[in-house]
Amino acid sequence: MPPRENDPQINDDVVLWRAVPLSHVCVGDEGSERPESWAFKSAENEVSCWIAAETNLQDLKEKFPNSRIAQFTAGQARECANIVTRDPVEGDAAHVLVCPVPGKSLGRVTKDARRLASRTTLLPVDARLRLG
Amino acid sequence: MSSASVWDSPTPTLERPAQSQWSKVTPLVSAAPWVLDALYRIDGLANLPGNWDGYASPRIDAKAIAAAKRLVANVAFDSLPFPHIVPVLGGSVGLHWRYGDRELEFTFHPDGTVGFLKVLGADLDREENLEEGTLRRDQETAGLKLLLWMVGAR
Repeated sequence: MPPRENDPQINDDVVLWRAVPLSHVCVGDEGSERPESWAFKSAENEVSCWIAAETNLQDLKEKFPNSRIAQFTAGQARECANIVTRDPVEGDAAHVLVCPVPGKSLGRVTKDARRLASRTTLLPVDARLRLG
Repeated sequence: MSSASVWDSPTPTLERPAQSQWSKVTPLVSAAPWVLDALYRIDGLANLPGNWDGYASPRIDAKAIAAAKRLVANVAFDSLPFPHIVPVLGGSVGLHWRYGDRELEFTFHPDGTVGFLKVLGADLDREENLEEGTLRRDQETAGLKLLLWMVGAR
């Protein structure tokens, strides 16, 4: 498979959602909840996310029933040395992948997963916001 | 921060060491109260079905569970808080400790390796505040040294 390439048409201010298993929610700084760094790692180095403006939040929550939704921007993902690229699967055009920039070491991936985890916001459990 | 600094740090004094001399296995009769609960919870990860995360992750590997339990049994001192026990993609087990402004994450992989991530302070953009590595041999002792760094003098 050819290496994934960053999609510049996904602007840095585009909001992304990632479903995070409840077991991956921990207490962060000052008692606030945040995702564990493991929530932003993948065996294939491809972390599935969805463009919020193109996604029905309730649909996403029903697809991942034992999860919380983490929110961050494409720019925040890129600040952590990742690329963001579209990956429409099974008719889901809002699906994107956050992948390490080419050549990133495994250790760097671990550190940047932690950095991205600390930059995200967990949506409230009862969030019913629909964007787009 | 280099990995060598872990070993060069002054050894902190534990508030109430569970035993005066560390051995490969800490008898549970002298372990800190949190340990038994932690061991049960790690065991419970074996009950997770495949696709437990919705991203097609496999079931948690028995070897990863055993390795996580060995570390916990070997660091059973009262000064440690209860770890966050986490199923990790790929069948691995994660243990996350937080103590003041220091954190330690251990990832126990099915292949027997143990990854760690040290976090010092809230400013993660400072490169020296994050350190990662892999424990390949004598993992219980190496893990203990990392935890002593976490609870040590700052």
